[in-house]
Amino acid sequence: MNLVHSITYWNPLIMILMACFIGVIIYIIYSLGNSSYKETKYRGEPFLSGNPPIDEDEKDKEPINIRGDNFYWGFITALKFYFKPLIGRHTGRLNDYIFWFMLTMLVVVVVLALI
Amino acid sequence: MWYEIFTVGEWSLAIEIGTLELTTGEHVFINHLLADGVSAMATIILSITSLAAGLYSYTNLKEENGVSRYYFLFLITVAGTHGMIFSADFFSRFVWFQVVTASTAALVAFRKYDGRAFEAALKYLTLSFLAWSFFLLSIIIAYHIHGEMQFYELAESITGGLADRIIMAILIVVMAFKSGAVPLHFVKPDAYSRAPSSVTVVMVVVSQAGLWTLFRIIFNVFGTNVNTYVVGWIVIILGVFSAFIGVSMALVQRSIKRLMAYHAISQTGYMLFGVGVGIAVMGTTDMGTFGRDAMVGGIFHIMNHAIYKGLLFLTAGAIIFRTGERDLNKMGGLGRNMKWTMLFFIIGALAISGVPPLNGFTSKLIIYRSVYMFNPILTVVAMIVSILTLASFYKVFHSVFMGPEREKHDDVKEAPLAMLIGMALLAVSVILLSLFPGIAIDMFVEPAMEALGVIA
Repeated sequence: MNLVHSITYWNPLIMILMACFIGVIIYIIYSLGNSSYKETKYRGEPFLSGNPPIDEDEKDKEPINIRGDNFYWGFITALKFYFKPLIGRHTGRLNDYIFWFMLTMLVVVVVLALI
Repeated sequence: MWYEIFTVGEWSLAIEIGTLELTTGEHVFINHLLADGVSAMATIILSITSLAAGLYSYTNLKEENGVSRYYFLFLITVAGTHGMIFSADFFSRFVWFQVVTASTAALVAFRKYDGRAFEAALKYLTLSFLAWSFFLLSIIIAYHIHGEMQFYELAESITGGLADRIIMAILIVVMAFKSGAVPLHFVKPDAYSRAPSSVTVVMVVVSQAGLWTLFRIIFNVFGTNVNTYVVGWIVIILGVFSAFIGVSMALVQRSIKRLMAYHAISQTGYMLFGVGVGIAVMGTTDMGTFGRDAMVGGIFHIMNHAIYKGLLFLTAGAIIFRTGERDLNKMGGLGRNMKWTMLFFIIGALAISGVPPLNGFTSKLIIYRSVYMFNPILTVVAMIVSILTLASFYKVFHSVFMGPEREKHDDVKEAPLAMLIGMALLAVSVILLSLFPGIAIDMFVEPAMEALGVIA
Protein backbone atom coordinates (compact mmCIF):
# COMPACT_ATOMS: atom_id res chain seq x y z
CA MET A 1 0.00 0.00 0.00
CA ASN A 2 2.97 2.25 0.55
CA LEU A 3 3.98 4.64 -2.17
CA VAL A 4 7.53 5.76 -1.57
CA HIS A 5 9.15 7.83 -4.28
CA SER A 6 12.25 9.90 -4.03
CA ILE A 7 10.32 12.98 -2.87
CA THR A 8 6.86 11.57 -2.12
CA TYR A 9 5.48 9.36 0.63
CA TRP A 10 1.86 8.32 0.69
CA ASN A 11 0.03 5.50 2.38
CA PRO A 12 -3.76 5.35 1.87
CA LEU A 13 -4.14 2.87 4.73
CA ILE A 14 -2.94 5.46 7.26
CA MET A 15 -5.47 7.93 5.85
CA ILE A 16 -8.30 5.38 6.13
CA LEU A 17 -7.29 4.43 9.69
CA MET A 18 -7.16 8.10 10.64
CA ALA A 19 -10.64 8.64 9.16
CA CYS A 20 -11.95 5.68 11.17
CA PHE A 21 -10.29 7.02 14.33
CA ILE A 22 -11.83 10.47 13.83
CA GLY A 23 -15.19 8.80 13.11
CA VAL A 24 -15.02 6.95 16.43
CA ILE A 25 -14.26 10.21 18.29
CA ILE A 26 -17.20 11.91 16.55
CA TYR A 27 -19.45 9.01 17.54
CA ILE A 28 -18.30 9.21 21.17
CA ILE A 29 -19.02 12.95 21.29
CA TYR A 30 -22.40 12.34 19.63
CA SER A 31 -23.30 9.63 22.13
CA LEU A 32 -22.50 12.01 25.02
CA GLY A 33 -25.29 14.32 23.81
CA ASN A 34 -28.63 14.89 25.54
CA SER A 35 -30.62 11.69 25.01
CA SER A 36 -33.87 13.41 25.99
CA TYR A 37 -33.74 15.60 22.85
CA LYS A 38 -36.91 15.28 20.83
CA GLU A 39 -37.10 15.80 17.11
CA THR A 40 -39.12 18.82 16.07
CA LYS A 41 -40.81 19.60 12.83
CA TYR A 42 -38.19 22.13 11.79
CA ARG A 43 -35.10 20.27 12.96
CA GLY A 44 -32.08 21.13 10.90
CA GLU A 45 -33.68 24.12 9.18
CA PRO A 46 -31.75 27.43 9.22
CA PHE A 47 -33.64 29.63 11.70
CA LEU A 48 -32.26 32.97 10.53
CA SER A 49 -32.43 32.53 6.77
CA GLY A 50 -35.05 35.20 6.34
CA ASN A 51 -37.35 32.67 4.66
CA PRO A 52 -40.38 31.19 6.36
CA PRO A 53 -39.83 27.57 7.51
CA ILE A 54 -40.58 25.04 4.82
CA ASP A 55 -43.72 23.12 5.57
CA GLU A 56 -43.16 19.39 5.14
CA ASP A 57 -46.59 19.07 3.62
CA GLU A 58 -45.78 21.71 1.06
CA LYS A 59 -46.39 20.21 -2.34
CA ASP A 60 -44.21 22.26 -4.67
CA LYS A 61 -40.60 22.14 -3.52
CA GLU A 62 -39.11 22.37 -7.00
CA PRO A 63 -38.91 26.19 -7.13
CA ILE A 64 -36.79 26.33 -3.97
CA ASN A 65 -34.15 23.90 -5.28
CA ILE A 66 -30.80 25.34 -6.35
CA ARG A 67 -30.44 24.56 -10.02
CA GLY A 68 -27.29 24.03 -12.05
CA ASP A 69 -27.15 27.58 -13.40
CA ASN A 70 -27.46 29.10 -9.94
CA PHE A 71 -24.29 27.47 -8.72
CA TYR A 72 -21.34 29.87 -8.55
CA TRP A 73 -23.41 32.61 -10.16
CA GLY A 74 -21.62 35.20 -8.03
CA PHE A 75 -18.19 33.77 -8.77
CA ILE A 76 -18.81 33.68 -12.51
CA THR A 77 -20.38 37.14 -12.55
CA ALA A 78 -17.51 38.62 -10.56
CA LEU A 79 -15.05 37.13 -13.05
CA LYS A 80 -17.08 38.11 -16.10
CA PHE A 81 -14.03 39.78 -17.64
CA TYR A 82 -12.44 36.30 -17.77
CA PHE A 83 -15.42 34.06 -18.48
CA LYS A 84 -17.16 36.17 -21.13
CA PRO A 85 -14.34 36.18 -23.72
CA LEU A 86 -13.56 32.57 -22.87
CA ILE A 87 -17.11 31.42 -23.60
CA GLY A 88 -17.17 33.72 -26.63
CA ARG A 89 -14.22 31.86 -28.18
CA HIS A 90 -16.17 28.59 -28.07
CA THR A 91 -18.36 29.47 -31.01
CA GLY A 92 -19.07 25.94 -32.23
CA ARG A 93 -18.08 26.98 -35.76
CA LEU A 94 -15.79 24.63 -37.66
CA ASN A 95 -13.95 27.55 -39.30
CA ASP A 96 -12.89 28.79 -35.87
CA TYR A 97 -11.71 25.31 -34.86
CA ILE A 98 -9.55 25.16 -37.99
CA PHE A 99 -8.22 28.67 -37.33
CA TRP A 100 -7.01 27.70 -33.83
CA PHE A 101 -5.46 24.51 -35.16
CA MET A 102 -3.56 26.36 -37.89
CA LEU A 103 -2.50 29.16 -35.51
CA THR A 104 -1.11 26.67 -32.98
CA MET A 105 0.65 24.78 -35.76
CA LEU A 106 2.23 28.01 -37.00
CA VAL A 107 3.39 29.10 -33.54
CA VAL A 108 4.90 25.74 -32.57
CA VAL A 109 6.62 25.25 -35.95
CA VAL A 110 8.10 28.76 -35.84
CA VAL A 111 9.28 28.39 -32.22
CA LEU A 112 10.91 25.02 -32.81
CA ALA A 113 12.38 26.06 -36.17
CA LEU A 114 13.97 29.20 -34.72
CA ILE A 115 15.36 27.70 -31.51
CA MET B 1 16.81 -14.44 -30.82
CA TRP B 2 13.58 -14.82 -32.81
CA TYR B 3 10.86 -17.30 -31.93
CA GLU B 4 8.54 -18.19 -34.81
CA ILE B 5 4.93 -18.54 -33.70
CA PHE B 6 3.18 -19.42 -36.96
CA THR B 7 3.63 -19.08 -40.72
CA VAL B 8 0.99 -18.29 -43.36
CA GLY B 9 2.38 -18.45 -46.91
CA GLU B 10 5.41 -16.23 -47.06
CA TRP B 11 4.39 -14.39 -43.88
CA SER B 12 5.48 -15.50 -40.47
CA LEU B 13 4.79 -14.13 -37.03
CA ALA B 14 7.94 -14.16 -34.97
CA ILE B 15 8.52 -12.77 -31.51
CA GLU B 16 11.64 -11.30 -30.02
CA ILE B 17 11.96 -10.31 -26.38
CA GLY B 18 10.36 -6.90 -26.15
CA THR B 19 9.48 -6.76 -29.85
CA LEU B 20 6.73 -8.31 -31.94
CA GLU B 21 7.27 -8.20 -35.68
CA LEU B 22 5.62 -9.54 -38.82
CA THR B 23 8.30 -10.21 -41.37
CA THR B 24 8.72 -11.47 -44.91
CA GLY B 25 12.37 -12.10 -44.28
CA GLU B 26 13.35 -8.61 -45.29
CA HIS B 27 12.69 -5.33 -43.57
CA VAL B 28 9.16 -4.04 -44.25
CA PHE B 29 8.43 -0.88 -42.35
CA ILE B 30 4.65 -1.04 -42.26
CA ASN B 31 4.54 -4.35 -40.42
CA HIS B 32 6.29 -3.52 -37.19
CA LEU B 33 4.60 -4.10 -33.89
CA LEU B 34 6.15 -3.14 -30.60
CA ALA B 35 5.21 -4.71 -27.28
CA ASP B 36 6.92 -2.88 -24.43
CA GLY B 37 6.04 -1.11 -21.18
CA VAL B 38 4.22 1.75 -22.90
CA SER B 39 2.07 -0.48 -25.09
CA ALA B 40 1.44 -2.85 -22.15
CA MET B 41 0.16 -0.06 -19.92
CA ALA B 42 -1.94 1.48 -22.70
CA THR B 43 -3.48 -1.86 -23.67
CA ILE B 44 -4.39 -2.69 -20.05
CA ILE B 45 -6.15 0.66 -19.70
CA LEU B 46 -7.99 0.11 -22.99
CA SER B 47 -8.97 -3.46 -22.10
CA ILE B 48 -10.46 -2.53 -18.72
CA THR B 49 -12.37 0.48 -20.01
CA SER B 50 -13.62 -1.19 -23.20
CA LEU B 51 -14.80 -4.24 -21.21
CA ALA B 52 -16.77 -1.95 -18.88
CA ALA B 53 -18.12 0.02 -21.86
CA GLY B 54 -19.05 -3.19 -23.71
CA LEU B 55 -21.00 -4.55 -20.72
CA TYR B 56 -22.66 -1.18 -20.25
CA SER B 57 -23.72 -1.03 -23.91
CA TYR B 58 -25.76 -4.21 -23.54
CA THR B 59 -28.75 -2.40 -22.04
CA ASN B 60 -27.80 1.20 -22.74
CA LEU B 61 -28.38 0.76 -26.47
CA LYS B 62 -30.87 -2.10 -26.42
CA GLU B 63 -33.72 0.02 -27.67
CA GLU B 64 -31.73 1.86 -30.34
CA ASN B 65 -31.76 0.94 -34.01
CA GLY B 66 -28.66 -0.61 -35.59
CA VAL B 67 -27.17 -2.20 -32.48
CA SER B 68 -25.28 -4.76 -34.58
CA ARG B 69 -23.65 -1.90 -36.52
CA TYR B 70 -22.82 -0.28 -33.20
CA TYR B 71 -20.98 -3.37 -31.95
CA PHE B 72 -19.17 -3.75 -35.28
CA LEU B 73 -17.90 -0.15 -35.08
CA PHE B 74 -17.21 -0.41 -31.35
CA LEU B 75 -15.02 -3.49 -31.85
CA ILE B 76 -13.25 -1.86 -34.81
CA THR B 77 -12.50 1.13 -32.57
CA VAL B 78 -11.11 -1.08 -29.81
CA ALA B 79 -9.05 -3.18 -32.27
CA GLY B 80 -7.83 -0.07 -34.08
CA THR B 81 -6.76 1.53 -30.81
CA HIS B 82 -4.81 -1.62 -29.98
CA GLY B 83 -3.21 -1.31 -33.42
CA MET B 84 -2.22 2.29 -32.64
CA ILE B 85 -0.80 1.29 -29.30
CA PHE B 86 1.32 -1.55 -30.67
CA SER B 87 2.46 -0.05 -33.96
CA ALA B 88 6.18 0.68 -33.99
CA ASP B 89 6.38 2.90 -37.03
CA PHE B 90 4.74 6.11 -38.10
CA PHE B 91 2.96 4.78 -41.16
CA SER B 92 1.24 1.92 -39.31
CA ARG B 93 0.24 4.34 -36.60
CA PHE B 94 -1.14 6.71 -39.23
CA VAL B 95 -3.24 3.91 -40.77
CA TRP B 96 -4.60 2.80 -37.38
CA PHE B 97 -5.43 6.38 -36.47
CA GLN B 98 -7.46 6.63 -39.70
CA VAL B 99 -9.35 3.45 -38.90
CA VAL B 100 -10.18 4.68 -35.39
CA THR B 101 -11.09 8.19 -36.57
CA ALA B 102 -13.58 6.80 -39.10
CA SER B 103 -15.15 4.33 -36.68
CA THR B 104 -15.41 6.78 -33.75
CA ALA B 105 -16.91 9.46 -36.02
CA ALA B 106 -19.54 6.93 -37.12
CA LEU B 107 -20.20 6.06 -33.47
CA VAL B 108 -20.56 9.73 -32.52
CA ALA B 109 -23.29 9.93 -35.17
CA PHE B 110 -24.82 6.63 -34.05
CA ARG B 111 -28.02 8.30 -32.86
CA LYS B 112 -28.89 9.46 -36.32
CA TYR B 113 -32.16 11.04 -35.20
CA ASP B 114 -30.06 13.58 -33.26
CA GLY B 115 -28.93 16.31 -35.66
CA ARG B 116 -26.34 17.59 -33.20
CA ALA B 117 -24.70 14.17 -33.13
CA PHE B 118 -24.26 14.39 -36.91
CA GLU B 119 -22.85 17.89 -36.59
CA ALA B 120 -20.40 16.76 -33.92
CA ALA B 121 -19.30 13.78 -36.02
CA LEU B 122 -18.77 15.98 -39.07
CA LYS B 123 -16.64 18.44 -37.10
CA TYR B 124 -14.67 15.61 -35.51
CA LEU B 125 -14.05 13.98 -38.89
CA THR B 126 -13.02 17.21 -40.64
CA LEU B 127 -10.62 18.34 -37.91
CA SER B 128 -9.16 14.85 -37.56
CA PHE B 129 -8.48 14.49 -41.25
CA LEU B 130 -6.88 17.95 -41.32
CA ALA B 131 -4.60 16.87 -38.47
CA TRP B 132 -3.79 13.53 -40.12
CA SER B 133 -2.92 15.31 -43.35
CA PHE B 134 -0.25 17.21 -41.44
CA PHE B 135 0.84 13.98 -39.77
CA LEU B 136 1.21 12.30 -43.17
CA LEU B 137 3.10 15.30 -44.51
CA SER B 138 5.59 15.16 -41.65
CA ILE B 139 6.23 11.42 -41.96
CA ILE B 140 6.67 11.74 -45.74
CA ILE B 141 9.33 14.42 -45.11
CA ALA B 142 10.94 12.19 -42.46
CA TYR B 143 10.99 9.19 -44.83
CA HIS B 144 12.36 11.32 -47.66
CA ILE B 145 15.23 12.60 -45.50
CA HIS B 146 16.02 9.57 -43.33
CA GLY B 147 14.59 6.65 -45.31
CA GLU B 148 13.03 5.23 -42.16
CA MET B 149 9.66 5.23 -40.41
CA GLN B 150 10.26 2.75 -37.61
CA PHE B 151 10.67 4.68 -34.34
CA TYR B 152 14.00 3.29 -33.17
CA GLU B 153 15.59 3.16 -36.63
CA LEU B 154 14.47 6.72 -37.34
CA ALA B 155 15.92 7.81 -33.98
CA GLU B 156 19.37 6.66 -35.07
CA SER B 157 19.43 9.03 -38.03
CA ILE B 158 17.80 12.07 -36.36
CA THR B 159 20.29 14.92 -36.14
CA GLY B 160 18.09 17.74 -34.83
CA GLY B 161 18.48 19.87 -37.97
CA LEU B 162 15.86 22.34 -39.19
CA ALA B 163 13.84 19.71 -41.06
CA ASP B 164 13.83 17.42 -38.02
CA ARG B 165 12.62 20.22 -35.78
CA ILE B 166 9.80 21.09 -38.20
CA ILE B 167 8.80 17.42 -38.39
CA MET B 168 8.76 17.27 -34.61
CA ALA B 169 6.73 20.48 -34.31
CA ILE B 170 4.06 19.17 -36.68
CA LEU B 171 3.89 15.83 -34.87
CA ILE B 172 3.61 17.54 -31.46
CA VAL B 173 0.69 19.72 -32.61
CA VAL B 174 -1.14 16.79 -34.22
CA MET B 175 -0.76 14.67 -31.10
CA ALA B 176 -1.75 17.60 -28.86
CA PHE B 177 -4.90 17.87 -30.99
CA LYS B 178 -5.52 14.15 -30.63
CA SER B 179 -5.15 14.33 -26.85
CA GLY B 180 -7.49 17.33 -26.66
CA ALA B 181 -5.03 19.96 -25.43
CA VAL B 182 -6.15 23.61 -25.45
CA PRO B 183 -6.41 25.44 -27.92
CA LEU B 184 -6.94 22.37 -30.07
CA HIS B 185 -9.73 21.00 -27.91
CA PHE B 186 -12.85 22.54 -29.43
CA VAL B 187 -14.18 19.44 -31.11
CA LYS B 188 -13.81 17.21 -28.03
CA PRO B 189 -16.79 18.53 -26.01
CA ASP B 190 -18.97 18.38 -29.15
CA ALA B 191 -18.05 14.76 -29.91
CA TYR B 192 -17.88 13.46 -26.32
CA SER B 193 -21.23 14.94 -25.36
CA ARG B 194 -23.21 13.59 -28.32
CA ALA B 195 -21.66 10.10 -28.54
CA PRO B 196 -23.27 7.25 -26.54
CA SER B 197 -21.56 7.16 -23.13
CA SER B 198 -19.99 3.75 -23.76
CA VAL B 199 -18.31 5.24 -26.84
CA THR B 200 -17.17 8.31 -24.94
CA VAL B 201 -15.33 6.05 -22.49
CA VAL B 202 -13.35 4.47 -25.33
CA MET B 203 -12.82 7.88 -26.97
CA VAL B 204 -11.05 9.05 -23.80
CA VAL B 205 -8.58 6.18 -24.20
CA VAL B 206 -8.25 6.90 -27.94
CA SER B 207 -7.28 10.45 -26.98
CA GLN B 208 -4.69 9.04 -24.64
CA ALA B 209 -3.19 7.11 -27.56
CA GLY B 210 -2.33 10.59 -28.85
CA LEU B 211 -0.48 11.28 -25.61
CA TRP B 212 1.39 7.97 -25.80
CA THR B 213 2.38 8.78 -29.38
CA LEU B 214 3.54 12.23 -28.28
CA PHE B 215 5.76 10.63 -25.62
CA ARG B 216 7.11 8.10 -28.14
CA ILE B 217 7.96 10.91 -30.56
CA ILE B 218 9.74 13.00 -27.95
CA PHE B 219 11.53 10.29 -25.96
CA ASN B 220 12.05 7.38 -28.36
CA VAL B 221 12.53 9.23 -31.65
CA PHE B 222 13.91 12.73 -31.11
CA GLY B 223 15.36 12.41 -27.60
CA THR B 224 18.06 14.91 -26.74
CA ASN B 225 18.80 15.67 -30.40
CA VAL B 226 16.48 18.68 -30.10
CA ASN B 227 16.29 21.46 -27.51
CA THR B 228 14.32 19.51 -24.90
CA TYR B 229 13.98 22.51 -22.59
CA VAL B 230 11.97 24.39 -25.24
CA VAL B 231 9.98 21.29 -26.20
CA GLY B 232 9.26 20.67 -22.51
CA TRP B 233 7.98 24.21 -22.06
CA ILE B 234 5.76 23.90 -25.15
CA VAL B 235 4.21 20.79 -23.60
CA ILE B 236 3.90 22.51 -20.18
CA ILE B 237 2.21 25.59 -21.70
CA LEU B 238 -0.26 23.36 -23.52
CA GLY B 239 -0.82 21.63 -20.17
CA VAL B 240 -1.44 24.90 -18.28
CA PHE B 241 -3.94 26.10 -20.89
CA SER B 242 -5.67 22.71 -20.95
CA ALA B 243 -5.95 22.42 -17.18
CA PHE B 244 -7.14 25.97 -16.52
CA ILE B 245 -9.35 26.65 -19.53
CA GLY B 246 -10.79 23.13 -19.39
CA VAL B 247 -11.95 23.48 -15.81
CA SER B 248 -13.13 27.09 -16.34
CA MET B 249 -15.35 26.01 -19.20
CA ALA B 250 -16.61 23.03 -17.20
CA LEU B 251 -17.75 25.35 -14.44
CA VAL B 252 -20.19 27.19 -16.72
CA GLN B 253 -21.70 24.18 -18.51
CA ARG B 254 -25.25 23.06 -17.91
CA SER B 255 -25.10 19.83 -19.96
CA ILE B 256 -23.81 17.03 -17.76
CA LYS B 257 -21.79 15.31 -20.50
CA ARG B 258 -20.38 18.51 -21.90
CA LEU B 259 -19.24 19.48 -18.41
CA MET B 260 -17.48 16.13 -18.06
CA ALA B 261 -15.93 16.50 -21.51
CA TYR B 262 -14.33 19.78 -20.45
CA HIS B 263 -12.98 18.02 -17.38
CA ALA B 264 -11.38 15.41 -19.64
CA ILE B 265 -9.54 18.31 -21.32
CA SER B 266 -8.60 19.77 -17.95
CA GLN B 267 -7.18 16.48 -16.69
CA THR B 268 -5.08 16.13 -19.84
CA GLY B 269 -3.37 19.27 -18.58
CA TYR B 270 -2.06 17.40 -15.51
CA MET B 271 -0.53 14.69 -17.69
CA LEU B 272 1.11 17.33 -19.87
CA PHE B 273 2.40 19.16 -16.75
CA GLY B 274 4.10 16.07 -15.41
CA VAL B 275 5.58 14.77 -18.62
CA GLY B 276 6.44 18.29 -19.83
CA VAL B 277 8.64 18.82 -16.77
CA GLY B 278 10.30 15.45 -17.47
CA ILE B 279 10.99 16.56 -21.06
CA ALA B 280 12.31 19.97 -19.98
CA VAL B 281 14.91 18.42 -17.68
CA MET B 282 15.74 15.45 -19.93
CA GLY B 283 19.46 14.79 -20.01
CA THR B 284 20.19 16.96 -16.95
CA THR B 285 20.85 16.02 -13.32
CA ASP B 286 17.38 17.35 -12.42
CA MET B 287 15.94 14.30 -14.13
CA GLY B 288 17.24 12.24 -11.24
CA THR B 289 15.89 14.53 -8.52
CA PHE B 290 12.39 15.50 -9.66
CA GLY B 291 12.06 15.07 -13.46
CA ARG B 292 11.54 11.35 -13.22
CA ASP B 293 8.95 11.72 -10.43
CA ALA B 294 7.07 14.31 -12.47
CA MET B 295 6.87 11.80 -15.30
CA VAL B 296 5.75 9.02 -12.96
CA GLY B 297 2.95 11.32 -11.76
CA GLY B 298 1.98 12.29 -15.30
CA ILE B 299 1.93 8.72 -16.60
CA PHE B 300 0.14 7.36 -13.52
CA HIS B 301 -2.44 10.11 -14.01
CA ILE B 302 -3.12 8.79 -17.52
CA MET B 303 -4.16 5.45 -16.06
CA ASN B 304 -6.18 7.00 -13.23
CA HIS B 305 -7.90 9.43 -15.54
CA ALA B 306 -9.01 6.78 -18.02
CA ILE B 307 -10.62 4.77 -15.23
CA TYR B 308 -12.39 7.49 -13.22
CA LYS B 309 -13.33 9.58 -16.23
CA GLY B 310 -14.74 6.44 -17.83
CA LEU B 311 -16.75 5.83 -14.66
CA LEU B 312 -18.09 9.39 -14.65
CA PHE B 313 -19.16 9.23 -18.29
CA LEU B 314 -20.95 5.95 -17.59
CA THR B 315 -22.83 7.48 -14.63
CA ALA B 316 -23.80 10.43 -16.83
CA GLY B 317 -25.04 7.96 -19.46
CA ALA B 318 -27.10 6.10 -16.84
CA ILE B 319 -28.73 9.36 -15.72
CA ILE B 320 -29.52 10.35 -19.32
CA PHE B 321 -30.79 6.81 -20.03
CA ARG B 322 -33.27 6.93 -17.14
CA THR B 323 -34.38 10.55 -17.27
CA GLY B 324 -33.89 11.47 -20.93
CA GLU B 325 -32.35 14.73 -19.68
CA ARG B 326 -28.81 16.05 -19.96
CA ASP B 327 -29.58 19.57 -18.72
CA LEU B 328 -28.54 20.01 -15.07
CA ASN B 329 -31.29 22.62 -14.60
CA LYS B 330 -33.93 20.01 -15.31
CA MET B 331 -32.71 17.36 -12.87
CA GLY B 332 -32.79 16.90 -9.11
CA GLY B 333 -33.51 14.44 -6.34
CA LEU B 334 -32.36 11.41 -8.33
CA GLY B 335 -30.25 10.18 -5.41
CA ARG B 336 -33.34 8.61 -3.85
CA ASN B 337 -34.05 6.33 -6.78
CA MET B 338 -30.57 5.86 -8.27
CA LYS B 339 -28.51 5.07 -5.17
CA TRP B 340 -25.90 2.88 -6.87
CA THR B 341 -25.40 5.35 -9.69
CA MET B 342 -24.99 8.09 -7.08
CA LEU B 343 -22.41 6.02 -5.19
CA PHE B 344 -20.40 5.38 -8.37
CA PHE B 345 -20.64 9.06 -9.26
CA ILE B 346 -19.31 10.04 -5.81
CA ILE B 347 -16.34 7.67 -6.19
CA GLY B 348 -15.51 9.06 -9.64
CA ALA B 349 -16.06 12.69 -8.64
CA LEU B 350 -13.88 12.45 -5.52
CA ALA B 351 -11.17 10.68 -7.51
CA ILE B 352 -11.07 13.27 -10.30
CA SER B 353 -11.09 16.11 -7.75
CA GLY B 354 -8.00 14.67 -6.10
CA VAL B 355 -9.61 13.97 -2.74
CA PRO B 356 -7.52 11.56 -0.63
CA PRO B 357 -7.28 8.62 -0.40
CA LEU B 358 -8.51 8.09 -3.97
CA ASN B 359 -6.20 7.47 -6.92
CA GLY B 360 -6.56 10.94 -8.45
CA PHE B 361 -5.00 12.34 -5.29
CA THR B 362 -2.01 9.98 -5.49
CA SER B 363 -0.98 10.95 -9.01
CA LYS B 364 -1.70 14.63 -8.36
CA LEU B 365 0.38 14.53 -5.18
CA ILE B 366 3.39 13.23 -7.12
CA ILE B 367 2.84 15.89 -9.79
CA TYR B 368 2.43 18.72 -7.23
CA ARG B 369 5.61 17.88 -5.37
CA SER B 370 7.85 17.25 -8.34
CA VAL B 371 6.53 20.12 -10.47
CA TYR B 372 6.99 22.46 -7.48
CA MET B 373 10.73 21.81 -7.63
CA PHE B 374 10.74 22.82 -11.30
CA ASN B 375 8.46 25.86 -11.05
CA PRO B 376 6.20 26.54 -8.01
CA ILE B 377 3.71 28.58 -10.08
CA LEU B 378 2.79 25.43 -12.01
CA THR B 379 1.90 23.69 -8.76
CA VAL B 380 -0.28 26.62 -7.69
CA VAL B 381 -2.13 26.43 -11.03
CA ALA B 382 -2.55 22.66 -10.64
CA MET B 383 -3.99 23.06 -7.13
CA ILE B 384 -6.42 25.81 -8.18
CA VAL B 385 -7.59 23.57 -11.02
CA SER B 386 -8.16 20.75 -8.55
CA ILE B 387 -10.28 23.01 -6.30
CA LEU B 388 -12.35 24.20 -9.28
CA THR B 389 -12.79 20.57 -10.36
CA LEU B 390 -14.23 19.70 -6.96
CA ALA B 391 -16.47 22.78 -7.13
CA SER B 392 -17.92 21.87 -10.51
CA PHE B 393 -18.50 18.23 -9.54
CA TYR B 394 -20.29 19.41 -6.42
CA LYS B 395 -22.52 21.39 -8.76
CA VAL B 396 -23.30 18.22 -10.72
CA PHE B 397 -23.84 16.19 -7.55
CA HIS B 398 -26.24 18.68 -6.05
CA SER B 399 -28.09 19.44 -9.27
CA VAL B 400 -28.62 15.77 -10.17
CA PHE B 401 -28.91 13.82 -6.94
CA MET B 402 -29.88 16.27 -4.19
CA GLY B 403 -32.91 18.46 -3.62
CA PRO B 404 -36.57 17.59 -4.11
CA GLU B 405 -37.56 15.09 -6.73
CA ARG B 406 -38.91 16.47 -9.98
CA GLU B 407 -42.48 15.47 -10.66
CA LYS B 408 -41.64 14.12 -14.10
CA HIS B 409 -38.87 11.96 -12.59
CA ASP B 410 -40.98 10.46 -9.80
CA ASP B 411 -40.94 7.01 -11.34
CA VAL B 412 -37.27 6.96 -12.34
CA LYS B 413 -35.63 3.62 -11.58
CA GLU B 414 -32.07 2.59 -10.86
CA ALA B 415 -29.88 1.92 -13.93
CA PRO B 416 -30.21 -1.62 -15.37
CA LEU B 417 -27.94 -4.37 -14.05
CA ALA B 418 -25.59 -4.53 -17.05
CA MET B 419 -24.96 -0.79 -16.81
CA LEU B 420 -24.37 -1.08 -13.07
CA ILE B 421 -21.87 -3.91 -13.65
CA GLY B 422 -19.97 -1.76 -16.18
CA MET B 423 -19.82 1.11 -13.68
CA ALA B 424 -18.93 -1.23 -10.79
CA LEU B 425 -15.98 -2.63 -12.75
CA LEU B 426 -14.48 0.84 -13.10
CA ALA B 427 -15.38 1.84 -9.52
CA VAL B 428 -13.58 -1.24 -8.18
CA SER B 429 -10.58 -0.38 -10.39
CA VAL B 430 -10.54 3.13 -8.89
CA ILE B 431 -10.57 1.68 -5.37
CA LEU B 432 -7.81 -0.83 -6.15
CA LEU B 433 -5.63 1.88 -7.72
CA SER B 434 -6.31 4.02 -4.65
CA LEU B 435 -5.36 1.32 -2.15
CA PHE B 436 -2.33 -0.02 -3.99
CA PRO B 437 -0.70 2.89 -5.81
CA GLY B 438 2.81 1.53 -5.20
CA ILE B 439 1.99 -1.79 -6.87
CA ALA B 440 0.30 -0.03 -9.81
CA ILE B 441 3.35 2.19 -10.32
CA ASP B 442 5.78 -0.72 -10.08
CA MET B 443 3.72 -2.92 -12.42
CA PHE B 444 2.60 -0.42 -15.05
CA VAL B 445 4.27 2.98 -14.77
CA GLU B 446 7.89 1.94 -14.23
CA PRO B 447 7.99 -0.40 -17.27
CA ALA B 448 6.46 2.41 -19.34
CA MET B 449 9.17 4.80 -18.10
CA GLU B 450 11.80 2.23 -18.97
CA ALA B 451 10.36 1.80 -22.47
CA LEU B 452 10.53 5.56 -22.95
CA GLY B 453 14.18 5.42 -21.94
CA VAL B 454 13.69 7.56 -18.82
CA ILE B 455 16.46 6.52 -16.49
CA ALA B 456 17.27 8.61 -13.43
